[in-house]
Amino acid sequence: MVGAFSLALWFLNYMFAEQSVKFDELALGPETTSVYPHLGGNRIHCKDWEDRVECLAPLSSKPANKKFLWLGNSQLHSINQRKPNQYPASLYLTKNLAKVDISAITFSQPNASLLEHWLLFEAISSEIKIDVLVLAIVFDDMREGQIRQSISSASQSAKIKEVLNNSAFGRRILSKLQDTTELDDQPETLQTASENWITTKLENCCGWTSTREQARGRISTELYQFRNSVFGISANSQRRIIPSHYNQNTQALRAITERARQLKTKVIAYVAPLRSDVERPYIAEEYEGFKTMVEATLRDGGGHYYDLENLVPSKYWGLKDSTNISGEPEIDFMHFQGEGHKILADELFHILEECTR
Amino acid sequence: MIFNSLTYIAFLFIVIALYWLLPRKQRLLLLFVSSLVFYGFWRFDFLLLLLTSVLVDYFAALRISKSSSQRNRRIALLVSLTINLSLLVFFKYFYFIAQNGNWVLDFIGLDFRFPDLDILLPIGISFYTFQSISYTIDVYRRRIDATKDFVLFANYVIFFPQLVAGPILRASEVIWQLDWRPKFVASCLVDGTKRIIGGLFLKVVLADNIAGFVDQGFSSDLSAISAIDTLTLSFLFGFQIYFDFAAYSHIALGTALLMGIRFPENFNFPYLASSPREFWKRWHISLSSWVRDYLYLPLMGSQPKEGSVGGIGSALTKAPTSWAAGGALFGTWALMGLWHGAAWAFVLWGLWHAALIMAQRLTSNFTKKLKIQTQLIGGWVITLPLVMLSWVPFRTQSLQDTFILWAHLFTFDAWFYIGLGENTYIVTFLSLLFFLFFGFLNRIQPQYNAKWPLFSALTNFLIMTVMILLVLVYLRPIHQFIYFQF
Repeated sequence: MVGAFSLALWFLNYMFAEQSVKFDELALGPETTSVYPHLGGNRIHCKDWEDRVECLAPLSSKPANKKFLWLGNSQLHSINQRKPNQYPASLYLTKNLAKVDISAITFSQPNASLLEHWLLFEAISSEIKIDVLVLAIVFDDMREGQIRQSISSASQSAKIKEVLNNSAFGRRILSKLQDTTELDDQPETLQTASENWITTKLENCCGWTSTREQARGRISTELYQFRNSVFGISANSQRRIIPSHYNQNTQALRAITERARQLKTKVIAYVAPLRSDVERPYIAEEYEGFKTMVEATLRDGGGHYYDLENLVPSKYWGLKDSTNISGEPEIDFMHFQGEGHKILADELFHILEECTR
Repeated sequence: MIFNSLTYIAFLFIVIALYWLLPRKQRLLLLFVSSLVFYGFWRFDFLLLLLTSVLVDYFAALRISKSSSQRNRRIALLVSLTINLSLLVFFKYFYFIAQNGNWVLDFIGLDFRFPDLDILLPIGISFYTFQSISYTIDVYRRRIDATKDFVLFANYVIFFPQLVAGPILRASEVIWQLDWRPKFVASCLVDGTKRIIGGLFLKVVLADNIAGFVDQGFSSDLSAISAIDTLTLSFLFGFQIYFDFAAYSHIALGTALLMGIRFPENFNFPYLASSPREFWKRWHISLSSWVRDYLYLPLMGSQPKEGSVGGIGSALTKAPTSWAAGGALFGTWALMGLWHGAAWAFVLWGLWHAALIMAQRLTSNFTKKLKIQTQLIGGWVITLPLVMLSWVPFRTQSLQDTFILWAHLFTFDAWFYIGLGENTYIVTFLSLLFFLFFGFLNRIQPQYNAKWPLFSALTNFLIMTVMILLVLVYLRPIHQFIYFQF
């Protein structure tokens, strides 16, 4: 027993130490850099609801300005083979918008679903009036069906809960969010207080306790790569839609447009740029059906639809780290290089000029 | 206090060390105080409610024991049952009764409404109420003598390893062990620790990691998923709840063993059952034994058995010969469903199991003629998915969602696509494989240990090392035990 315990501790201490793995950016790798830029000392690009205080403050500081909110996935904050002085599109766009008295803020998360965009939009709108909402809609993310804890925590606020309870869709998602056994969102009890105290003490005294998070990340990475190797999954693998998640995200898009109409927020949604020099990892009919659905939903909801699928030229797309144990870099369908971000920012600026004229 | 936390481990170190150092009287006081502290980590104010149950049954049992008049004995029993069950009904079922009552009142056009109360369900109330009731009934049935030692009796009801999620034990199994001072045996510490590690492994490595897939699956658009997905989610939740609840029982048994106290087993690889009756000999054995002795057998007019072993499956041998007996079967399971939660979906879960047992009884004349291997393998192949499908109402807690999911199984087109993320199928398959592998290992282990002792010791050492390592990595109180909500 003592031997088994010692061996386990040794393994934990030596095998998992000094590994840094970010769970939600597991698929990016060192070829792709995540950048959440600042402008004039203010955060202009944020990740989670938990960043809201810092992120929404600059918007409130200029009440006369129009407020612009951009929601998307990792395409917005990731740069492939990043070179010095290259930044995400959010920085270029925010600078341009500032010149025409528009205050902008961007939120993006890896694999962000429309469900998450919907909740963030509802939450942010309950804090500040948004004039223009820009949505980056990505076919891959229609496969996501979860709302991550760092965003779902927004639904804990009584004010936001009340807003969500005003719509059938909001009530349904709210009840689903409460229907888990997770304890993260519970109020602090004697148990949580003592747990935090013991954890802190252990981390200060015993090195192995601080490697636990790295170990969890490392195990997840290895399992992810192992699964991909066993099933022959790579970035090029064809992925089908997951009907239950697709339907929920479709409903979320509808809920966004309906809510935006109530709040008098202009919605601009675009189908995100996609690599076009290689065969796409989608079933053609499904992808076309997706674009048709987005366009129809925006049209019905009084929003503006743009297809930016072919916006970024092939030369500005890059490679990503291997997603299996082979170690071979793979084609990246989602993230482009620095030049691509400039093109996207310029295009969005023109679209905004056109729509807000 | 939650078992899957560093707080509990620290608490356990202190309690176990003191337990073996103190003499009998102080040891009982230590257990009493530590059980109150354990419960108080959730809510101190609800300790009053817990102690009310203890006091009521302590005095009721003494009264029953002392009185020679059958009438007085019966009154004391009724007082105990009324108070205990009223507390349970109020805290657990008020909202359910009010909701359904208001609906009925609306239907018949009456203006009266049940008040809208915000009631918090006291953790473990279903467990400690049943345990406490069983004591009074056993004294009434003259199966045991009432104890005069209040602290000893209180420890029987609130003993922290089994306080909030069982096993539901009988006084005859526990009180003498609490009263008797066992000699310190190192093997108890080793075996207890192994069980705790095994339990933590099931909880923090398996159940908690499966939970995300289950939550995601059940929160998706249920009308868009397929028949295969319905089965997948049923199996996946079936494994989650098994790993979760068996984990709790392992930790409870292991903790008691650290103090030299032995609890009966609560699970015995239930998904290896080859019939619904056998399932009920293997799943939540202490609850199903309780229901057998205090509900089902009395309703059937039969003599109750003794002890929390065997489960209700051991009492289901005779086919019902009357409508009343059939009613007892369905009534018992409906109540067992309601015991789990105040929702019609839990009643449906109970009725589903009663229907499976009834179907087994009705087909037994035919199945008896089959070869024993066919009975076992064929029975397992049929029983497993049917038992797993019963978890749908248990998880959704909604009749509407349950019928949406079950309806996919009867829709031809719904068998030709899949609607969940790929990892959900992989995790379900691996869970089944893991369960079958350990079921097989459990069966062959005695022969294996005898034949190759050295190799067996090495394998056990490696398995234990891996389990400890993974427990150290994943131990976080991020998920409540599912049975806490019951």
